Amino acid sequence: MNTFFEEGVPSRRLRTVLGVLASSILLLGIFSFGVHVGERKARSSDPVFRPEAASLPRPGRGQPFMLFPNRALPNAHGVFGRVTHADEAVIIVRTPQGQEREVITTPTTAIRRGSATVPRNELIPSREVAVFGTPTSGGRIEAMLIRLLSTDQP
Amino acid sequence: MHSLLTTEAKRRFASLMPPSGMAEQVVAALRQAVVQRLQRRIGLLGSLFLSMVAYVFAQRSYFWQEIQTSSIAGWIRFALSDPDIVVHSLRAYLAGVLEAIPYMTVLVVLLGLFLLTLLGSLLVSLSKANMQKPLPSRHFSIQ
Repeated sequence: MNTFFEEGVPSRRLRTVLGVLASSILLLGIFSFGVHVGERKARSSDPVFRPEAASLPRPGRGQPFMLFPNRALPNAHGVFGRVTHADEAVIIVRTPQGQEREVITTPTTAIRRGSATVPRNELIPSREVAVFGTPTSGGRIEAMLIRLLSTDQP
Repeated sequence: MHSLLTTEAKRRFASLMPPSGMAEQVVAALRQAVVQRLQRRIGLLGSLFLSMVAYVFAQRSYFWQEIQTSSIAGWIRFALSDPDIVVHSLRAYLAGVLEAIPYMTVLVVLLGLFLLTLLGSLLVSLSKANMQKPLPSRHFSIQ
């Protein structure tokens, strides 16, 4: 193997680039495998996760071969989409893929548009938002930041 | 006596000497072997790369859907627009980014880059080896 690289790739810099690429591929392969294992475990053990995951689009299904298919499961730490419902402490956000996520807002949740902080009552249905938070039980997200996207400024 | 020995020694040494031009032929044969090895590797890697391209083309709907459903761009925008909150909750942010990575697409792109870089380098090595014209190997060739 060493002779292969010395003969075919004489440049040391290029060998470094190839080494970095190979390491990244290996790391990403291990990561994909970990995601795959985690997903299988969650699918079989979590009663909340199961029905939601089953209704999700599953790219790769029926395809000839995909080693670790990415199931497009909902992101546990954030959601991007349009507000469909808003009340005192909870908003529901619908993603472009049609998934609905419940987002819990707390007094510490920062709600921003551009560089300004806006009041809670700006979160009304049809607003385009990006939410960043932490997952809670029941598949909800406790929002740390809700960003109103500039495309739907009044 | 001394003269006779010297003449005998010269005769024997002359019979042991390789034919003229042999060193060049050995070098040429070695170079030819290197070129053949490089050609085999290029063929193998080229087939591998083309197979990968064909596979990605056949599965293009999957990769396109993975890119479309990935929210990685939104996570990058968070880091740019709200660095204070991102830094404060770095662990949650990194977890969110990792969840959003379209990893199969990235994996295929990295693999393609790796194969292309390796192929390019092998092609350059091959052209360098071919630049020196090999001498005709009349007596033997090393494969």
